[in-house]
Amino acid sequence: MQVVVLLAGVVDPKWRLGTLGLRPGTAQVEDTALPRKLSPFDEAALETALQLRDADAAVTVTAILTGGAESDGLLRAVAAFRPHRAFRFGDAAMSLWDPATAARLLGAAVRAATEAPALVLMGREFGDSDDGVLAPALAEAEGWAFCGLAHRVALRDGDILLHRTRGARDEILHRRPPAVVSITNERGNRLRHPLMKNVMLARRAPVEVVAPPTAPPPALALRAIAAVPPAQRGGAGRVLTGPVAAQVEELAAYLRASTTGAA
Amino acid sequence: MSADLIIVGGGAAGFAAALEAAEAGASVLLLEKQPDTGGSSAMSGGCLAFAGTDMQQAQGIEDSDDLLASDLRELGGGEADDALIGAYVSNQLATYEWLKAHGQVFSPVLEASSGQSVPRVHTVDPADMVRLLAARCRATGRVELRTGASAKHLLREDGRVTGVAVLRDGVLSELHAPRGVLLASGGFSRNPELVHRFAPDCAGAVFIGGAGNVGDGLRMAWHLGADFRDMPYIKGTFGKHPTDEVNDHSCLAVYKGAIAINQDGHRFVDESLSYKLLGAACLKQPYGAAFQILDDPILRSGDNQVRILDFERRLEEGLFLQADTLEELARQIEVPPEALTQTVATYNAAVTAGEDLAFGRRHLVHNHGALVRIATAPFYAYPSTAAVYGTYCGLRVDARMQVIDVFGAPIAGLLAAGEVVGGLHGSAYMTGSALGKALIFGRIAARTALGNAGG
Repeated sequence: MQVVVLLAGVVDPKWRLGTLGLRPGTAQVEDTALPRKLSPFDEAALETALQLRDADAAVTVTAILTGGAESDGLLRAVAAFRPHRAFRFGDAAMSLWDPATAARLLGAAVRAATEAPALVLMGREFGDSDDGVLAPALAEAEGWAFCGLAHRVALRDGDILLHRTRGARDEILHRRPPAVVSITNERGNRLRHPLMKNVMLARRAPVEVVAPPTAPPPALALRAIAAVPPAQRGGAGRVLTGPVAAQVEELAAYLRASTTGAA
Repeated sequence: MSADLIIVGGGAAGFAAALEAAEAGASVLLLEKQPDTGGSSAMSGGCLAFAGTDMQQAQGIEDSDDLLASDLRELGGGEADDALIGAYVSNQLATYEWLKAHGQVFSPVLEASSGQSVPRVHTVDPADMVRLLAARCRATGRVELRTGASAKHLLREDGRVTGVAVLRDGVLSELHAPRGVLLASGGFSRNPELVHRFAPDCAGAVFIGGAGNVGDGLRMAWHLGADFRDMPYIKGTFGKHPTDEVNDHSCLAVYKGAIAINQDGHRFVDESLSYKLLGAACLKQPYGAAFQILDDPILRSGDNQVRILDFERRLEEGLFLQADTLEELARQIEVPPEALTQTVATYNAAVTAGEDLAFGRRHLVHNHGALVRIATAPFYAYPSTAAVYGTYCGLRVDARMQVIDVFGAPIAGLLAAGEVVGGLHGSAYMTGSALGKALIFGRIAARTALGNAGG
C-alpha cells in the first residue's frame, strides 16, 4: 500500500521575518536566507506515515518535500526518519496563494512518487496556508476521497480508518483509497526523534530532486509579500506595589469584582 | 561612574563576586554583554558540590573536606592544581552557609553523581540562584549592572590592569577601577573555532552554553600573556540526547544502573566513570552516539528534582524509547537484537557474580552504589551523545584567583573566577564543581581584589 506524505516546511518561527519579499523580477518568495523546519502539522503527518509503516510491512512510505535547494537541509532531516523514499519536488514556485494551481502541482508530486497512491497525508496548514484549503483542493482536483483534521489513521482490510475530534465528539470515519487526509497535531502523533545513526547517514546521502512539470502561470499573480509586524502588546497589566498584605487585599478585591462582573 | 572593582560577566561567578565585594563595602560595576544576566550558570543543571553540610548530616551522609579533596584529586588524574583544590575545599562549606543565609533554598534530595564517593549534589534552580544573587547585589546599593556592555580589552597602567575598554550601544569607552578587573566571563563552548583549536576530538559533540560564551575573557587575558590550564581536557559530557533540541541537560541513567551501548549493541566503557570520560568514550563510537539501556526499576529510581536524573519528565516528553522486550527495543534503536540481548545477559551475569570482566565496573557512580541487573520489563533506551556544556579549562590562577602569566608571575590587578578559570578539574570533572567554583572562586577573587588595594 502506497502512502505519500506531502511536506512543505515553514520558516523557523524563532527567526524574525524582517526581510521577507519577492525575488527581484519574479513572483517567488525570497526566503532562502531563513532556516526552515517542519510545521507541527507537517510533523504530525510525517509521524502518522511512520506509524503506518511500523504497523504494516506492506506499507511503503514516500515523503515529498516541496521547495527549492534551500530546503535540502530539511529534506535530509526528513530522510533521517527513514521513509522508503524521500525527495524534493520542484523549485520554489509552488504558488501556494493560488489553491487550484498549487493542487495541480501537488497532484503531479504524488504521481512522481507512485501511480497508485492509497493515502496522501498532509499537514492541516500545508506551507503555512492557514485556510487549510489545499488538501481538499487536491482531493477535488484528483477525484480522490477526502477527510480533514484527522489525528490518527489506521489501515484495515484495505479501508482507511480516520480518527478526529469535533467539539466534544470523537469521530471515526472510513474512506476508501485513494484518499487525501489532512492531519492535525495531537499527543499521539508527536514526531519521534531520529536516531543519530540515521541523521549522520542522511547527511551524507545524495538528495533526490524531481522537477515539476511545466505549469501554466497561476491565475492569481503574486505582486508583493511582506511580514506583518507583531502586534503591540501591553497596557493592561499593572504591578502591585506596597506592603504584601495590601497587595493581597487589592488583588483579592480585583478578583472578587471581576468574578461578580462575569456572573 | 567610578567603581572600586569592575567585574566582567553576569553569571554565578560575577554576581557572587559582586555581592562579596559589595558586602565588604566596595562599589562594583558589573558588565554583561548579553541583554540578560545568567549566562551558562542559569542554563546549568543547578548542581553544587558541597561537603559536610547540615543537609548531608541530617540524611546520615558522612562527608568531609578531606573526602571531597581526595575525590577531586583522584578525578583530576594528577592534572588538577592542588592549590585550587585546596581553595575550593577550604571555602566550600562557608559558601554553602553564605548562600543559605542569603535565602537560597536547596532541593531536599541529595544525589551522588559524577566523581562523588557519597551523595553531595546540592541542587538549586540555577536561574533563580543567579537572580537571587543579583537581587542581593541590588539591595546593597553598591553594585551597578550594565547589560549590553561588551568588554573588548583590558587597560593597563604601569603594568597593572586598571580597567576595560567597553563597547555599548556602538560606543567604545574606557572604564577604570582602582581595585582592578575580575574576569567572570565564562568559557568558550559557543566559539567553535576556539574549541576546535584546543579540542579537535570534540567535533562530533553538541555545543551548549550561554550565547555569550565565546572566550572574551580568555582572549583579553591571553593578550596580556596569561597562562592556561587544562586545555587538553575539554570534553563533552555524556548523556545529551543527540537529536532533541528542547532539553539541553544530560541524562545520566547510567548513574542509577543503566549500561551504555553503541550502535553495534556492545558496551564500551565502565559506566561509573566521570561523565566527561564517558563523553570522550562515546564520541569514539560509531556515529559518535550511544544508548543508555535500562529497565523499569532503574527508570523508577530516577529523581525528578535533579535534572540529570529526572527520567520521568523525559519519558513524558517521548525521549526514551520503550519496549516490552529487549529484542523489540533493539529493533527500535536499529541495534542487532542478538547483540543487545547478549550484552545485557553478560552484564547481568557480571552483576550477579560481582565482577565485571569486560570493563571493571564496580559501582553505580564513582565509589557509590551497588550495581543492579537489567531484567524487569518494560525496557528503555535513551539515545545519548556528548555535549560540551562548559570548557572546564582556561586561565591559570593562583589560590587567590590572581591571573598568572606564562612566566609564572601574577598579572597585577587582574583576577578571574568561574568557567574562565582552568586548573581545578584536571582531566575529568565532578558534578557540581563547576557551578561550585563559580560561587567559591568568585568570592575569593572579590576578597583578593579588596585586599590588594591601590598599586
